[in-house]
Amino acid sequence: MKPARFRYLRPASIGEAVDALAEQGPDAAVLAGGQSLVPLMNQRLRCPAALIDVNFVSELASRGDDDASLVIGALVRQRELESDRALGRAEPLFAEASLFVANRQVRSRGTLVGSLAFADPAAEYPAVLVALGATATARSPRGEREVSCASVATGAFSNSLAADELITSLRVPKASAGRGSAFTEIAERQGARALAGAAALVELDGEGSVTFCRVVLAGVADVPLQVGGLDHLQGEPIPTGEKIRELLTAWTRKIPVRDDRRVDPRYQRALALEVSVKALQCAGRRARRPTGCS
Amino acid sequence: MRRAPSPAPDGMFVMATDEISVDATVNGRRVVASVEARMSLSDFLRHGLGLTGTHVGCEQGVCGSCNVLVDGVAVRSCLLWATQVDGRIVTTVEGLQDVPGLEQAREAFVAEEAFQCGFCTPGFLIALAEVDFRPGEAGVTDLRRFLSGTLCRCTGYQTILNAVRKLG
Repeated sequence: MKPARFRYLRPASIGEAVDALAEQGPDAAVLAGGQSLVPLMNQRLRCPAALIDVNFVSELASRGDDDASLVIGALVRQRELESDRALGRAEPLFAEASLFVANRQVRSRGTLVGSLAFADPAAEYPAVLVALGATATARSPRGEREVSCASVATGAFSNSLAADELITSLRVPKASAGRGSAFTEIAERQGARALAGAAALVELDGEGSVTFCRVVLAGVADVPLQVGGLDHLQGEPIPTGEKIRELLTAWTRKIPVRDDRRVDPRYQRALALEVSVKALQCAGRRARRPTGCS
Repeated sequence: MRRAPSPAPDGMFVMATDEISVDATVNGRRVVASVEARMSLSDFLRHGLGLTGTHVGCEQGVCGSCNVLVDGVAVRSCLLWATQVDGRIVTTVEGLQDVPGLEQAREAFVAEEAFQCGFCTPGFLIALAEVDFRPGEAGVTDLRRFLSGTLCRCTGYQTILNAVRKLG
């Protein structure tokens, strides 16, 4: 199918993009990679009156870092997370999650920020950003504010941004020594929507005891879901897979899984448990030794 | 579609309610045209320029038959508006004779009979045109993952995989 007509706006700067978004009102959509929005427009499931194409705003394509964080602009393509060595070294979780995201041609256009804002419950990158404690910088005519990535998605395909707010970049806290991370997922086919995915972070002290531990699920609930019941791991060495499974079983049974009618909720909870255990174990091994898990 | 008098200059705010200009290089040829903003790159290539080697399967970014190179990067042409390639270099399957290594891929596809109806073949060849690894040396898992971005509805995947593994 062909999309409905729309007004096409191509700002050349962040200021122009923000002004255009404010002027066009709530029926406008921001076009970054377009790998989720354009398929919906082609099916006329989304018919925005105006499309604000930010692909020509070169200041949004920047990436860099300061002492504490990586800064990733709104036009940084998902494939850059895989191909950029500096970014890959600084945060290997992005490249690992990319193995499960659509395919190479889609990731060549798709952006990290777009994935966060689109708030698809099955998207991998939002779960990764929540696990990493990343924040988004949102710009509007009222100024700029920092939003925790954990509070961006408010439900399936809806976000907490105001209609005139544009996410310009992300700040991702840099990894400390002794940290391990892992992403794993179960889907029906390579690149298909996640039935359950998990991003895990583990930090260990010199003795090998857990000082920080977080697992965030994708594809299971309406929004990235932080796995509970992990407090018992604090100050302990990473236990065996069986112990982790025991620890998480009760919690995963209560997950408010999203009803997408494809899979039985009990099956999806079982998958959530499997990916959580696997990601946590793998992150734990990598925290001890960077190549400790493949 | 009609020819535009002049393209929009760089770094300028552009707004279009009707037609908009596109000024790009397609298979080595400069193309200046005026298109509806909602015209996809795939439709522009096929209907505007007569380059029907780019196939349109799903228009949802799933099938990969419409893969083209934009500035050397393989993308879905059904998910780009034609006007978005303003100032860019587009290569379709018709222009692949100019891409190093593609002749080898074409020969390998023929030798392994890596097509049945042939609808998906341009998508696979474009995907292969930008590989930054040596397919012959990559593991089967990596190759399957790489090839998963393009669908063959005849399900002739094994011969496609065989052809790709023959590449150096």
